[in-house]
Amino acid sequence: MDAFWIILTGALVASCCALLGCFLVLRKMTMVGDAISHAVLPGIVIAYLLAQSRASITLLIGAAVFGVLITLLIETLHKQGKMQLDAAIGLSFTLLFAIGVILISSFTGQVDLDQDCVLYGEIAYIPLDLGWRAIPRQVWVLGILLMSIVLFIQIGYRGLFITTFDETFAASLGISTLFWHYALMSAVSFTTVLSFESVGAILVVAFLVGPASVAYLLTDKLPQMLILAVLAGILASIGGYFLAVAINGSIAGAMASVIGIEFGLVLGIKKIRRLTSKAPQSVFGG
Amino acid sequence: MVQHIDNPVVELHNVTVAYQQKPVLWNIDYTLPEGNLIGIIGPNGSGKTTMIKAMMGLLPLSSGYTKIFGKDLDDVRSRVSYVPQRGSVDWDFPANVLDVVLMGRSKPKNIFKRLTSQDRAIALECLRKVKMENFVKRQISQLSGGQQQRVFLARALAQEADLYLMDEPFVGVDMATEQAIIDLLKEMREKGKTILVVHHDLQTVKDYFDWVVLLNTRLVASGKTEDVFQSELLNETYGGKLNILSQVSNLLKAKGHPVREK
Repeated sequence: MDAFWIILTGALVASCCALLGCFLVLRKMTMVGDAISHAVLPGIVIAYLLAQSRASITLLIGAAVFGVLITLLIETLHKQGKMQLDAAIGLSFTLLFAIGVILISSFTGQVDLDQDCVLYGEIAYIPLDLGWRAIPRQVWVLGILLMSIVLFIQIGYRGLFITTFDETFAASLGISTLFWHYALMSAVSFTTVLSFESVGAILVVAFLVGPASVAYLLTDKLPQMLILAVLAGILASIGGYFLAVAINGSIAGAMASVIGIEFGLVLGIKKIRRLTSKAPQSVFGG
Repeated sequence: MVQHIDNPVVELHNVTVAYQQKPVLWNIDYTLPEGNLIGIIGPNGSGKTTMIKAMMGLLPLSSGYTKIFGKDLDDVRSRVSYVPQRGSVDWDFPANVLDVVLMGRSKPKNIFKRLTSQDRAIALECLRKVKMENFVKRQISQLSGGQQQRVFLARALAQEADLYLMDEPFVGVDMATEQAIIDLLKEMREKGKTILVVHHDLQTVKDYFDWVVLLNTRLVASGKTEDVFQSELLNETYGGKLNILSQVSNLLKAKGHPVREK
């Protein structure tokens, strides 16, 4: 039963990240996702220190504040400070992450948050922390998160689509591109912090970028891309668990590795197909 | 030389736009008449794109103001359509032709609602007008340059606006598409629409446009094509460079140099 809960948790994390990751990939903003996933760390620690509780809602607010803060910081450094976007991202998220690391290490005694857990997550302990109806608490939390994200994408699909494909045109229609930008960034912040406990700050990026990239290679339709990304994520969760059992290693690490393997396979098959097929449509990049 | 008119569709008053202290548009002041096909002409980097972006409120003005239909843009936004440069979007985006054209039916008001069957009917009708009705479900990554431009035009038509601002619609398109687009623009003009086109092929200016705006950071001229499109003002716009070009083309003409299609 533990195996089931671990795989389910991994699959839920992967699905949430995959859905949002699709939009990050299409917006060419995956590195902002990376930045957010690291920058929420001080938010979590500060929220924890202030509230003295590990209740998700407190941590969530702390993380969300810092998630939006770093997107603001990046925008400001890039637009006002005339910095290159990648330099602005690199500078701001490492700074915030470093502050988070310092906070954790100096308050280690009082705080039930340790660096390993935050950096790498500990998905193997998920089945120990049971919630309502003997279902692990994380499964409940991530399940609700996944439903919220699906709802968000369902309702906001057209807004996300327009502002992602052609932001200038969207602005010319009078649609608030800032609103959609920050809505997506907030969703990424929430997802990151709720995925922390299971996969940690570093590997969550693999879940944000990997499945979406696999799906991007496989299809040229956005609804299909969303579904395929979720499937790729779930597959990685299952495959990763058994890989970890086989080599007796980190489960989250194995899941992230399987995503990498999936990507390599899909890319390889695509290349081979393109080389071997002499069909005329390949001229058009189809 | 700037010809001003009464009851203009577009009015720019002392508009200056600067990037990092460096002015890209300097003190632009003109009025444009309704129901005209208007060409915005100038060399690279002369601020043509900046000017229509500024008119769409996509860039902050350093000074001055713009009026469209005598009002602020936000009051008449639904009557204005903007066609960005084709190269400004990623054509590998996972979307099909109809998805893109339906964007033209989106407004801040209906962004959370489903589009109606009427919206779809209008989008399909617009695709028919640009002769892309056989490509409705085609993925945009499979379109040629000319087809991409037609899709952008259909998206603009779907907005059912009265004023169209088009950024370089003829760049990188085949002759058939260019002709099809200009025919459509002329047809729209007959229905009283006003169309601004950023353009840089000087050879076609006289055939295409009723009114011409000559731009090189400053406004060189704005007026009827027959009054404004003349060598003195063009030389002022292109500063000497045109001279060399026209000499070359004269030379080619004189020597009967063979012109080959690629």
